[in-house]
Amino acid sequence: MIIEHLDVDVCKMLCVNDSTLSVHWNISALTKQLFEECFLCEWKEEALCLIVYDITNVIFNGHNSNKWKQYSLQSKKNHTFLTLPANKTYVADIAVLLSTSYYTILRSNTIHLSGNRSIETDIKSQSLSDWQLNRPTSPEWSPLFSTYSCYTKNVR
Amino acid sequence: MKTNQLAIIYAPFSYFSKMGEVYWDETDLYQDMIQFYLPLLNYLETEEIPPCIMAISPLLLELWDRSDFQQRFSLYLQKENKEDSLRVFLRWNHNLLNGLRHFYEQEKIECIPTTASHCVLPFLSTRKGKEIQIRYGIHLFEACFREKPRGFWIEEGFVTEEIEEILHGEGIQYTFLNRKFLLEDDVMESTPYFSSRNMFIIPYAEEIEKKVSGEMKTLSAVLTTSMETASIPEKLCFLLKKGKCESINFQLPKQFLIEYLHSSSTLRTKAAMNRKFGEQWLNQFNHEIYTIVYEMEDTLWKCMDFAPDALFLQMMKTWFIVSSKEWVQFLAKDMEKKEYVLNCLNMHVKHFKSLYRMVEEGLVLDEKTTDCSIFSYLSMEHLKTLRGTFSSEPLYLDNQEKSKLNILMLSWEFPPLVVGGLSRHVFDLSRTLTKQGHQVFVITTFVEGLPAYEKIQGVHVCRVLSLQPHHSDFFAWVNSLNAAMVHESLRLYKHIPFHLVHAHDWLVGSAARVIQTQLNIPLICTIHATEHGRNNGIHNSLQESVHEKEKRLIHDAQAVIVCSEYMKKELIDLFYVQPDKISVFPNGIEPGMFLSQCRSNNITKKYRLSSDDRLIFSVGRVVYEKGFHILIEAADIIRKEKANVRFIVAGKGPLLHEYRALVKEKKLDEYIQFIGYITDDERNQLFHLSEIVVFPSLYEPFGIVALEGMVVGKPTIVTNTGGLQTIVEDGVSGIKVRPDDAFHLAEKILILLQDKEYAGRLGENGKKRVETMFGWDHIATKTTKLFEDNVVTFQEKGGE
Repeated sequence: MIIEHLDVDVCKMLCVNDSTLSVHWNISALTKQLFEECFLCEWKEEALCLIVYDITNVIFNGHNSNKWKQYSLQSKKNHTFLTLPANKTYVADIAVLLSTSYYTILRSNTIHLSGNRSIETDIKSQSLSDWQLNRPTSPEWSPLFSTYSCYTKNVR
Repeated sequence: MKTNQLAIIYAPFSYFSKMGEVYWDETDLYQDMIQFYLPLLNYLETEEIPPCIMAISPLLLELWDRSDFQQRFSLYLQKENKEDSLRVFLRWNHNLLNGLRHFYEQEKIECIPTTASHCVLPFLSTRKGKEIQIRYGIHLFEACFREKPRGFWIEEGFVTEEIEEILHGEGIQYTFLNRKFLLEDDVMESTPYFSSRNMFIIPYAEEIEKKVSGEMKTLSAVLTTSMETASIPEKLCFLLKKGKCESINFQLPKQFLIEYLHSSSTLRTKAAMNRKFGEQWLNQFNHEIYTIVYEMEDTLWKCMDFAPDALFLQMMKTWFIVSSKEWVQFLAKDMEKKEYVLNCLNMHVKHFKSLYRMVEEGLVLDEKTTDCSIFSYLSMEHLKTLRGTFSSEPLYLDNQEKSKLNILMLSWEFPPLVVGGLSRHVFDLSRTLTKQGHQVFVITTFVEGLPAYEKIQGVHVCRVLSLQPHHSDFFAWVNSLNAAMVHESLRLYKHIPFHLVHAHDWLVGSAARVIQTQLNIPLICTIHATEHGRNNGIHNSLQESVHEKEKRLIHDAQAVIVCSEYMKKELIDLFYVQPDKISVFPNGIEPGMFLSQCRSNNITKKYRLSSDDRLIFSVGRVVYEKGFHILIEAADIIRKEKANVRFIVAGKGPLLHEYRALVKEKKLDEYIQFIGYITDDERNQLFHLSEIVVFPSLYEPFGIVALEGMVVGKPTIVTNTGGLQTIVEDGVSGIKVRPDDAFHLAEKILILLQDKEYAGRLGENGKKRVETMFGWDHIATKTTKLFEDNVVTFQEKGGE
């Protein structure tokens, strides 16, 4: 038996214990429609991924996390548990993978995972290959953009 | 020496899972009444029992106080021949609440409330949800006991810092903390303490079995028992009496607290959480239950401010039921019952969905809709207070302005964010429409340092921050902004019944099209320029995508506005639009905007202009279509004829560095300067200081900058292209030159430099023409007429 869901956008992160976060999401028909209208392509559950950002001591704007990690998601899934280092602040995105980046459709609440203060676990001690160091840069298209569009070099 | 202790009896309402069935059978509750509550009241009256605390469910209090329940229970007792129970029941006049009140007043017990529906509070997803659960318990307690509770029982003693804060805010003095919640090796002792959130925390252990077998001394300062574990009151009474004999001094919290205050000043911060405790309540077997609680919770807060009272109350009651911890407990006991639990929950979810659908469709609750039989204290009054406290809507939305049309305008840029003419156009149009009695909400991009909402000259400006405001992919950036615009529009629409959405160009096209279908209102779009026109064709995939978005926006719009006949023709040719769908409204100008405030010598100094320099000025985005490379060529020609001519080009854009390099390469540094971004005031100064104004565009859908030059009375030279063709009458109110022809441009500049009288006449005529033909009042009136016609047609057709 499958539980009924409401047609609402939800992305909730809760602290289960000092090293586990529970993330639940639900994507509304509106958000799917909006994605299709914007990207001019069909909505595909398979393209979804979950991004976790370490935003400790950061006022997060979507791009300035300390580190981030991408998890692929199984189709039809709308919940996961994440085991993460304690004493860090986290936020999660449900995103659609694009060819070279990802597009966020939902963002969770922020959670500070406070653990036993005597056991200071750092992300560095975990596998570095999983976590991406964030290096915020200005978008490449920015200098080419003016009011209505991007002016690419081959215009003339 | 006697030790002080608190004894607490927890009396929950354990029948939520039963409420998932079509008919709620109350028999289990009757059994609990007979076996526990009635004997307990009887013991309290007849025996010398030490004082204790009773944490009682708001739902039990509510049921006991209801005459329909009293009647049913009375009939049951008679039918089952439960004479002893009936006697006690009659003793309290059919209402056990009378008994509790009596013993409360006698100080034999102290009653404290629990949450509305016994949920695991830390696992609700919002603070608002937690506050409402706690407030309901307090509200009902006050109604029953006519005073505020001093303590509060949090389910499972799962007290987090956030919950302490909420309790403190509600005036609660003490609560109980489950020691299981803490790490086993934590130094935290069992002694009560004052938390950093000013709450008196009383730790307890759930070791009832030991207590029942008489091991009380080894326990904490609290003796807890609940209906679930301390099977019958007889045992409880025995336990209390035994404890009393064994040198335990049972106290009511107020004495306990006072004595504790004298003996201890312990202040502690939060201890580390025991991982097993959290997992017990939220794990892979039961997370599905929480998911639906969160979805309901979010939906509730989403519609809190606009849902009709009765509907909202019903939704909240359903959420109360679903958020009870009992569902999780049920699964923990027997996973085979999962299907039953999900079935029950689905029934509630379906009910909730149907209520929400009614809210969305603007329906009201009719008599046929079954009311939830409990939580009756969740009244309209209670809701009013909740709304007053928790409303997240800005105050401006309460101001119901008597406007003619409610217009929702979308534009990616809006002053003070000004990149091109679009921003100025939207500002001037929106404030003129507002001046004419319409209510205009402009949704635009969030800019760091500017407020998310402000009213500028009567226009409501909402700046939205997207989830990825600096996305590395251009289209993802546009789309992220569009998504934020849609969400803001839907939020506003709950309060402002928009008559139409007006989208300015393709950048907001996706949002506009979704809003059109979601709100079922007409979409009007203004196409300021086309990707094809800007690039003289479509040459790459980026341009293709923009072209496609333009096509969809134009196709879906009920009406399209362009600024010139030239643009109209372009749209007809490119997108096969029916001519009667397109209206041509020129861009307007506000002459007052071009008065200069600063001193001109600041400008002359800044740009090293000498008194005999003859200034030729141009302004615009530094993009190819503006034709500034033609102006560089013309400057090269003119310098050979006139030494004291200076060209200044203001504006920024992708080609700024390239043009500056070209000037250097041609050794024209002394004659032509690309000065980049300037303020409005500097622009006005330069207009006033100039002798001639030039716009050498290759593609110009309208050419509002030409109006700016003309309105300050300067002779203006434009290329004979696009909208510029109709702005200037050649040789009368300005001069037209062939596009992409530097020699022709240089020739005309030289004529004006030589014939000052002719130049002056052109300037005067140009000024007059702009003032009479391009006033915003006139344009806004025509725009209003188009809006009104489309709103009427749309309504007549019953939406599209």
